[in-house]
Amino acid sequence: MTSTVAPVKAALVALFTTALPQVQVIYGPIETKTTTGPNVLTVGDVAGATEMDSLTYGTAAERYTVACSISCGINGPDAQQTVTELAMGFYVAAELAVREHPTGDLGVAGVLGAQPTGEFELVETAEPTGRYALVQFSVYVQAQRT
Amino acid sequence: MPIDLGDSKTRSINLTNSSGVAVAADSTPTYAVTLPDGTAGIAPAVQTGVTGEYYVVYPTVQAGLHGELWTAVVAGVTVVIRRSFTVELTTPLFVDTEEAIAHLRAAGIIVSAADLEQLRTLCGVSCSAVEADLGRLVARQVVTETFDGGQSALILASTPLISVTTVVENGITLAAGDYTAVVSAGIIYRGGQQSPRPWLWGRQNVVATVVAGFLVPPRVLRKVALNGVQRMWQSSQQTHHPGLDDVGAEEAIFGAVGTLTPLELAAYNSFRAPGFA
Repeated sequence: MTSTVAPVKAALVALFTTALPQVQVIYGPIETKTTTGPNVLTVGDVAGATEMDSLTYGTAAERYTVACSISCGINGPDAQQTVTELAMGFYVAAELAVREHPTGDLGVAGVLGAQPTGEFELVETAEPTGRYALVQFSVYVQAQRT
Repeated sequence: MPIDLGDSKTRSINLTNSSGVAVAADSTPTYAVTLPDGTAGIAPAVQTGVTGEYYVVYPTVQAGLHGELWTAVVAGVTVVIRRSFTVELTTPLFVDTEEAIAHLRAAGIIVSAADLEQLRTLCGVSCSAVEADLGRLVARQVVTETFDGGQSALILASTPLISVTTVVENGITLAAGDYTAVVSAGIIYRGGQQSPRPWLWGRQNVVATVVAGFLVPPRVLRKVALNGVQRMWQSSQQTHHPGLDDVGAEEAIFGAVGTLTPLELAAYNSFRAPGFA
């Protein structure tokens, strides 16, 4: 019996890479990359639960949430609105890519459904090095381990 | 992008009007180059590219800082462009791009010509930084040092010493038996092994040409240099994302790379030249 978490993360990376060509999509934390650009999307932590279907533990249901983050940065003292609009645009496109997946299961065996939770958070940061916008959202996955 | 001694480098200008549109000069611009020693270099003929583009192919003949001067007339207005460029010596680096890419785990990532040249520049910076910190040469190279005479020993600044090529005293090249080199200490004595004598008195009258550095650069020095390349590359290539970084990109890099283990640090410091703390 294998979990769907790892293939789902990989599928999300592939999906977002195709849907957001201007964004560097990273599997895991940003520090894993030697080179990072001004626009990144990380497919990060997963939290959820597994429920056995029977006492024999032959199959189990998985329900979990994959945390994703989009971070955009831009130089210039008046760039906050620009970078915020950029990050929100990428978020909308990423969420749409998940919602409009043709099979609704990210193409991963065992996944019954994968949809954005709809919840998001926008955090704006202004530093001497530039202006930054972070949008955090998550994808809810229901799957069956077999 | 570094310019190596012996390379022929294209130097170009692009003339535009006040609206940023490329325009041709009224006549072919002139080009002049000043060599690092302050003398005028031989200026190649100015060639014409696309509209507004003029260039020369300059064959580098000296290492060091060059000054160049372009003079053009556009619609009756004289335009003067002053720039500089540095020509590097071709001393081999003791860590190079291939090792750096492996150290960075960047195979398949650092592939463009611009990135490779940038990485090579950082390798050069890191190597020279290690040598400057230790007060030693690491990459094997030929060095010429000049001394005052009247003393018994010439103490070389460029160490470790590998071999002595020539020693010239008061303009006379000495035979190999007329001096004794202590390779381990970087000292050259006048006279043979059984017949020591002082160097002839004079100011800056003894010139020693030697080969210095390590035939096999020590591994710990190469690792320190690679760590330096990694820090410089990542801090130049990683865009800051405060929302995603636990401690910030630069701090994370410093914490992971900038601190050597006590064993590495002790080994690195063991190569430090006397007087270099």
